[in-house]
Amino acid sequence: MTGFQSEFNTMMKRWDHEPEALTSLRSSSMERFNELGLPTKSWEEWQYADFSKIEPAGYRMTTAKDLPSIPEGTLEKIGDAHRIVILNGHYQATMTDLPKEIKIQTLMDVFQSEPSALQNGSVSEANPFRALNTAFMNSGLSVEIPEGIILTKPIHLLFHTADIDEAVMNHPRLLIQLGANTEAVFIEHYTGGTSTPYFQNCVTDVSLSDNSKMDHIRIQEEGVSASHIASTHYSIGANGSATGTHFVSGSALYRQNISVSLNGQGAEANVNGLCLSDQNQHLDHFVTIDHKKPHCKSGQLFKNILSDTSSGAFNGRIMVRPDSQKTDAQQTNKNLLLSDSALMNSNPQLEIYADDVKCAHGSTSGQLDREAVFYLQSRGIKEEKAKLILINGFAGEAIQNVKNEAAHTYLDNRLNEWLENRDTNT
Amino acid sequence: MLKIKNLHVSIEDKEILKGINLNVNAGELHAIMGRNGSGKSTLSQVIAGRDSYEVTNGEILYNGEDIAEWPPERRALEGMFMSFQYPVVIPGVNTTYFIKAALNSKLKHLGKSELDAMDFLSLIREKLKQVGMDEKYLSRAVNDGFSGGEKKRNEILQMLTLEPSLSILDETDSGLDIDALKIVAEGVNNFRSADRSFVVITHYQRILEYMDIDKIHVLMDGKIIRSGGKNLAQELEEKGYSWLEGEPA
Repeated sequence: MTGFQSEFNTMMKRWDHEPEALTSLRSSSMERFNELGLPTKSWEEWQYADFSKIEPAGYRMTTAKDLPSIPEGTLEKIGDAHRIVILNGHYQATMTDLPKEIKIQTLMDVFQSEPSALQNGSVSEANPFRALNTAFMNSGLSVEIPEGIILTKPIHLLFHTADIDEAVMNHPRLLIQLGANTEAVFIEHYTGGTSTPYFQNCVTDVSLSDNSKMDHIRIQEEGVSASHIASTHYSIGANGSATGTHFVSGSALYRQNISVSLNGQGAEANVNGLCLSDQNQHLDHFVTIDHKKPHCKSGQLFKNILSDTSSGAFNGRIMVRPDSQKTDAQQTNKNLLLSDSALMNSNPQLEIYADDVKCAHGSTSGQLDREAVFYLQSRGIKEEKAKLILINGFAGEAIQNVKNEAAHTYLDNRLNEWLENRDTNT
Repeated sequence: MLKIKNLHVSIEDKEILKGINLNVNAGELHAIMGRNGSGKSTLSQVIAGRDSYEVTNGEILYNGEDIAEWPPERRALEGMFMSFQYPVVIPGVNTTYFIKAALNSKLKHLGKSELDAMDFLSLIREKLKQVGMDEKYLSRAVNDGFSGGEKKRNEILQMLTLEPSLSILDETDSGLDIDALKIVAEGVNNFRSADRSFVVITHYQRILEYMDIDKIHVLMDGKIIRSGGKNLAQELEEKGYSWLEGEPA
């Protein structure tokens, strides 16, 4: 019996009050996970990451007793925002502050009112981590912006892990639904205040109804020994528009599967990513954009900046279905290697089944441009500073879609802090 | 101000400059002319401190000091400036930010207080007018999407802002139409003073028509083979470089 199975058996006893339908969903998902197992090097789509350390760690689920103490002011990381707080996997209703028109429900509520929202593909699921999430999902939340609401302040969802002294795991399940003609900014933020290994296995499903607009900023700053696995799905209706910015600097292992379904004519998605890695970190994005309808537009700009012996991967797939004429799809992956020992794998893919489309992709990996460093030096800027300016400029493009000022400032500061700790003398 | 003595420079064991001697006094404007491949750009890059070239013999003195060990930024801070033949495109780095960082670095070096955003903006607007550049370039990334002429004007803009004592203009005239050429030449002319020197490196004598030149040097195969006054440019224009071929250095 695997560590996950034995923990699952323990949890099922604790969850014995749950509705029968949920119990059965969990069980079938656990079975599915056991069939699939964890990805190995021979799984083509997962080959660059090493998941072998996850199973033997024997993570246990957190309980309500695992709550950390929260020093004053630590939750207000991002300026003026509505807050939703999840501490060590437990939703904190009292720390949450949302305007009353926004509907927030826990997983249990969701399951009782709309069980289908969670059931998508438990049996046919090909991603073992999604199956595992469905089996274990705790800290599940649904946030719904009803039709016609334009939110001016961002919603900051903070998942904080701290004060743990043994390997724990959480499986956050987040459903974000935007009704027709809505606008909102969501900041999905993971922070870790511990160097103890833990496992965060997240599933975020975002659905945008027709004519809705969402800016999704996902920030991953887990503790240094954490494994953070995520699956983020954007489903976009006609003339809907989603902008996703995935900023990653935390965890030892990070793997994120981003998928976008452009489901209605005129839908648009711009998904960007910035990964900052050092030491032995491995930060890995797998992006799939599915153009299901004509006249849709998608853009991807993913960047990794790698130092020390860190590694990264970018796999981007654009799929254009036979009827999706007038598709405009762009994909760019640029990587900056600050060390000779860093390693980046980039694998762009196009699958185009329509003929009247505009698709472009490009990928570059390299070191800092010596010519540019010299140019800045020749203007009186010291070599170290010149390099910082160049790296900052390189990174800045990947976060430029973040229009919310508080969030942008936060990312800028994190980037600068990361850069200050670099030895760029390579 | 600039004194170059018997300068030999190699790149990957290939000798490019084979004993250059040059003396530029304060207030003077010298032109160095030569064909492609004669070593003109190598000379400017070496003066600016590019590390991919190896100085195998000779020395470069700036205000009497040997600058061999000075990194490029020190040369700039001490008052040297090179206008690049191919200005570098720097995506993601805003032009205002870049020039302001350069200027403040220099002010700091001079022990003066750095300019804040407002003071810098009014200064740079003034300089933009002098080179006929639109303010919109300030908010773009450095040289990103700039035409050849815009890049060269941006170089002159930086020169006017940083106020160097010695300016090396490396083929600043190439790729410029006649209007832009006049603006660049005028920018240089207005900037001239008794304590500023210029070395204009060029392929064509065209830009020299708009400048008051003290001396012209002809560079061929890594050596200065002829020096003279303004009429030398005219002669070169008429007879071509082959006229001087076989000339002893």
